[in-house]
Amino acid sequence: MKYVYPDDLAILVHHRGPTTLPGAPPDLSGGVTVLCLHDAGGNGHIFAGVMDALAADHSPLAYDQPGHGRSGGLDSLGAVEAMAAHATAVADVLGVEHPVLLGEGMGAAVALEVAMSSPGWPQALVLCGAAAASYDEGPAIEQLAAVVAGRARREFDGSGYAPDTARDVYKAAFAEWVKTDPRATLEDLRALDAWEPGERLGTVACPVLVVCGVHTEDARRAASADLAERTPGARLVELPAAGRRGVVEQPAALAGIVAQVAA
Amino acid sequence: MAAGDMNYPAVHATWETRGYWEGAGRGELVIQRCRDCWTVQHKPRAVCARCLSSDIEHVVASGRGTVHTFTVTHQNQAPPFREHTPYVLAYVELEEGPRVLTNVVGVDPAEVHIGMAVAADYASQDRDDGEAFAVLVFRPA
Amino acid sequence: MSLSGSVAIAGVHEHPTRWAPDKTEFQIMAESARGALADAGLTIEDVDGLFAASMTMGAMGTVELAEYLDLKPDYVDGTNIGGSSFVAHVNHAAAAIHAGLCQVALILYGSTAASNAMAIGTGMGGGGRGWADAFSAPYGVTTVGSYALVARLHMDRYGTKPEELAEIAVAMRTHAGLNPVAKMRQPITVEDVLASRVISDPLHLLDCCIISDGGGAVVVTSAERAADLAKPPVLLLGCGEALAHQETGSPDLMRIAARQSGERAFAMAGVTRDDIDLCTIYDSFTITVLTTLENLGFCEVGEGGAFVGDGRIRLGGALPVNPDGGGLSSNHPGMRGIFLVVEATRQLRGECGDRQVDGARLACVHGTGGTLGMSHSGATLILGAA
Repeated sequence: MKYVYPDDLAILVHHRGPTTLPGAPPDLSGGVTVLCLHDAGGNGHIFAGVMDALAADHSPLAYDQPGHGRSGGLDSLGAVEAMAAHATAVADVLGVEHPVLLGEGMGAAVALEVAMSSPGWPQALVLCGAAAASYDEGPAIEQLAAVVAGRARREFDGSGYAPDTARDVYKAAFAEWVKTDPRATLEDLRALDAWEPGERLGTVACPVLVVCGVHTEDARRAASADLAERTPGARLVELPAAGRRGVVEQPAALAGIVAQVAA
Repeated sequence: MAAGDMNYPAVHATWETRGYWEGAGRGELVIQRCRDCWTVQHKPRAVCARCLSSDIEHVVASGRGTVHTFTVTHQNQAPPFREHTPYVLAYVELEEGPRVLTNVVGVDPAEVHIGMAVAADYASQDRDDGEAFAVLVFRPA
Repeated sequence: MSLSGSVAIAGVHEHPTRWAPDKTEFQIMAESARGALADAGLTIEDVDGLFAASMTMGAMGTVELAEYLDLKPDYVDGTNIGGSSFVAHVNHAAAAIHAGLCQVALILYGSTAASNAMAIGTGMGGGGRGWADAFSAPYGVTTVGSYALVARLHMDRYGTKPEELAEIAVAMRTHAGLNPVAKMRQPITVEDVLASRVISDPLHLLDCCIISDGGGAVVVTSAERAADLAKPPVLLLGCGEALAHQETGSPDLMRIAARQSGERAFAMAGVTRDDIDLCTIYDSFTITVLTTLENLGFCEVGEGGAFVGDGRIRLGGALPVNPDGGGLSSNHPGMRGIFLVVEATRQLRGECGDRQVDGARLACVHGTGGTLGMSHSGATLILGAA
């Protein structure tokens, strides 16, 4: 792990491979760079299993957005467009060229936004738990607004995982989720809800895999399928033995899927 | 939370405070009185806090008191209280004068009020060293 | 020569961070020292007195800090009496400077309580090995709970209302809205405070201070030396400190350490309560502010509820309290006494922009350390523009 400081704000970067001096970027000689983009209220550590599986033949990287995990800042970037601009700024500081972008949930939206704003820069996108405007974040937003106002406590949501997923997996996922201030998570969800790529999806110019766990509930599955249809060059890929959080439920299998598009 | 509902964490006794903790283990509320200046004190010390005399006698209090102030705590991340919220933390003023910090148990927290008459009870605790200590709590009288 | 007026605050710095997962406590102290010394127009070579405290520094803590800063001071003081420590450090630095034992005192605080996920108010449990602690640890005492004991008694005895406590939280949030580095800046209402969940009755979440990272530094020197430095000196006119606890078992919980320390500070300064233009008061909880105002003598004990109403403690009111937003809304890394000194100093220099108290010439600073309801410390300063 190391800190980088694009725009003077401390960003925690997770990487594999040999360590390097503070102030120097991580070593990216291990293969194609896979840059991981986390979900609302998440942080880069959630990709640990996927990164371990990718490390032998790739250069996996993840980072905590401002206001998340152990990066600096108190606030969410507030809009998917700002998050995409920040992602390219982080990539710049890290010396990343032509990465595969792996995004989960809100991170998938960020990945798409990067592909639309910088066509030709990402070599491929792998999108997990992804939707584009056809999934309603309303109930989650309401619950978090109550938490932020001090009326409610954050609740442990064990739903949406595959039946065989071990309890430890989603307990660990919840522990990561609560590392981010609920205020920032709330702003993330509002940003995701407001994001509407519309016709711009047609400008995505690289291969796209929309990954959907086979145990994902219908509304989310439909949203992922909808996204795959609307995005040129996109293919829906099923992830066995996983629900909505393939990133933590089946990290090795997901890494295998990523490897397919990491030239 | 009733005495007996929760096993209190093991308390730490010193030679100075042992008389109080052993008293609780026997079901007695032990306080101290200075034989030189007659100050009654709780928490136990080897000397009188008023005049520093070492001529201290241990006396058994009646166990009767009133609630001086209290709070119903809803959030505590430390075990074992984490699993026993909401519970009542209170100062109980003993008949003999001193106040003790304690839990009021065996009653709906909503019924606890300042001035409420209470009586001492003794709750067990988790220990594996054979010491016969207990934890003083209070119930409605 | 009397201590009063002979010593001045020459430099201050509040670290702007509220969340610093990439920094250590000593780093925050050093960055704050750099800021305060630059503020004073001095350098680290000028410092010959070191005063510091934090929640993690134990015995030898100041020695380790001195190594980190490569300092060999002629005077050292690691007094730790809770969050008021840094207010007391000003008192102690003044005494040392007045006695000729050091020339330039550097007072430091730093904390990464938030990024270390320290549950300060409701979960620092365990312990029970100290003499007093053994009689409270078994009972699930939390910091919030111990302050709540005082709040409950105050309400029962004087009819103080939850709305009156809530008004204090609203005032602090209003002030924080004018402070660009405050952590919580969105306005709240009395209804929001009362609707927030009860942590320990009668205190709601919004009656309690926030948790943040942060730190600060204060430079104290003789009034004479300060007159030649970069900023207008802020003179120490009066000071006092005090401890309060359970005595032999029946203290008056409504009488807090501020009564004893405040009386001494006002007497030394020779000013009245009416002369004070603003207060910076330790606001660990709303009840802390209310009982402090009473015990400092700004109003009678029992009248605090009415006193804080009608906007009296807000900017623009008769006695603004914590124009920076306090621990309730701006900054609370576990011990916040240093920010009381920094804000009061900046107000008396006229540096506070949007949150400046007009014509501020006299400030009363009061820090409370530890827990009301159990044992606590108080330290009071009367500061004046030169």
